[in-house]
Amino acid sequence: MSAVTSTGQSLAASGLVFTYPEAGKGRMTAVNIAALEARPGSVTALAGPSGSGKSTLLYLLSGLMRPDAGSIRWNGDDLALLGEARRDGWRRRNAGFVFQNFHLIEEMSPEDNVLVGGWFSSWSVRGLRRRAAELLDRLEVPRERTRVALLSRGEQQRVAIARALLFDPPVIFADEPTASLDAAAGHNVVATLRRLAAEDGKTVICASHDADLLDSCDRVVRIDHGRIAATKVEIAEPVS
Amino acid sequence: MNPLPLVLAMLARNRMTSLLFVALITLAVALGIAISAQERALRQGSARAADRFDLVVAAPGSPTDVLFSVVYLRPSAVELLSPAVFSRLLAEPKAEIVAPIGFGDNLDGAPVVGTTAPFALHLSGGGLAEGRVFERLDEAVVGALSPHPIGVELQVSHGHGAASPEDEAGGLHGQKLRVVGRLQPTGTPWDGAVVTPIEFNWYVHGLGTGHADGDTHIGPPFEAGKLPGMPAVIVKPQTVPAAYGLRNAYRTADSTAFFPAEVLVELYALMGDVRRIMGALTLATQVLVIAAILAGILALLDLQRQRFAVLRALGASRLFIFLTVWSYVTLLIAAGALGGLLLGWGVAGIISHFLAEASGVAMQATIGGTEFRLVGALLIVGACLAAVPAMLIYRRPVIDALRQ
Repeated sequence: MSAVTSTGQSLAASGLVFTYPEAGKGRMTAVNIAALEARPGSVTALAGPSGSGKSTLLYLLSGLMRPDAGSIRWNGDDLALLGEARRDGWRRRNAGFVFQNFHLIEEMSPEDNVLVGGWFSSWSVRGLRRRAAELLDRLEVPRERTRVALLSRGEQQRVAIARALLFDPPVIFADEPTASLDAAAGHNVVATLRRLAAEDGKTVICASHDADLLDSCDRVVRIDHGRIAATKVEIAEPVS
Repeated sequence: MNPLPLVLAMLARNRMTSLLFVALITLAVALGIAISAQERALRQGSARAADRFDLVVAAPGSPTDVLFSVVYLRPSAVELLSPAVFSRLLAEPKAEIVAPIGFGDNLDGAPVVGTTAPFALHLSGGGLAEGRVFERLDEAVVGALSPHPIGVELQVSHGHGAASPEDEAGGLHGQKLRVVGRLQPTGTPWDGAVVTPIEFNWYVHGLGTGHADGDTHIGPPFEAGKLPGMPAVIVKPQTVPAAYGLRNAYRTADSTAFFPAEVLVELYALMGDVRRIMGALTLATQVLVIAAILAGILALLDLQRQRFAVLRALGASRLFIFLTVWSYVTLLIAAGALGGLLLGWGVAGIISHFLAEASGVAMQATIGGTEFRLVGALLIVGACLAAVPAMLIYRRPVIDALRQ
């Protein structure tokens, strides 16, 4: 197994292996990553064709799945060694999630959607309302809508980003965040993610094959058959 | 941790399905509540109705038939008690009231019952609601619910149908009745009856008056040789031991004696058996309804598994997901159970009203410990069963749902 790489608030994986059973073929390897590090203040993209393992890698890095081998280090903790309940707690404290299809609760207002995390945290929802309102204002989401379903798709994705930011987590995971948006809305979301990294110092990790998003990332890690095929590192220009 | 907002969101999202589930539970519970409350109302009403009929002495035969004739004024052919037995009863020192009962006539469908003035007063709780008790053969008192006012003259017809042309022409034997008093409410079919001196009943049936010719007084003493047979005699004993003594003394080859409660207890035992069977069927229905609803809820929630997976991705614990689903299901069951309690109560009230109108026996459906225990048991069972879909959703793999 590879040595552990950990640098402060970086999220670092090493020797990461994840397999799954397939009938008649034994265990198939979905992810086999020697080393990967996502740094604070940067946007790291996991790119690759469908089935390449980029979403599985994202779920492993976020603690939603547990690897068969390897480590995922965050600030001295190894997520791979934590039980499910502690990984849930880690996500509550340290991670925000943005999904391709937003997964908002349509019957609720934008503000209540942002507050969802408050239901299962120890924070008082009343205290979080101000924070939710600020986030929606910052992301230019009309707060007066009574139901989130009345928003445009781009606005809905920005509500999802606000939801991910409720507890000001240091890490943002985004799974195909622009895939179901038109070009303008997608561009807006990319700009938002870039700003979160550049201005707020967030560690942003995206699984995507959106060229616009990949062009805007600090690091693009191309995944093929669960392995890192190539890594492109560049300091992306801020997206306006 | 507060699953309530998500539970409310689930209710809003699935409002029609949730309403349907609640309605099904409500109907299933209401069925059980209505049966239970109605059976008790019937039991209590019939027992209350028989309260003032301390001891019934009749010819040997079916006590049930006699009870239904005397207390509930349901027409039935009963053997007549020998006048000799009645004379012996009149001589009993431990009998406070000995009252023959006679039927056979009606007034616009309301029974005309013959008895004695002391029994009419006893039935009315010791005093009348208005007027006075009858003192002459052609006087009558009416039950509390009778539409006839004091002072009105009534013309009775023979049997249980409408007045015959002969009756219309001048009354049976030309005899009319004048209403002189009104009984207090008794909660029995007697509330709708016209109560006459027993002598009137005998007289209009051509049986004399039980007194010597030319003797116009009513009530005891009677002329032993002039007495006809009678369907039953109500005896009010002076004491409880006297009641048992009289009952035993008149269980002979010529007569039978019984406390109405004895007959009612047998009827209640039969009703109780029916109630138990109905109760078991109702319980089975409720369990089946809840099982079907749980299956429906599981299918419904399975369609929303991605929502739960997203919550897990956002950091919600499995416990939170469990609590959310459990609260949602329990809330539906609780709402259905509460609705069923109220609906069952209402239905039992309506049935009681119609039964009371049809039978004349006052009965009021109430919700008591039995019904609360039924609902409580359902809530406990429901809350336990609600853990099943909660557990199944709780165990759903997050990643599979997220990848959908």
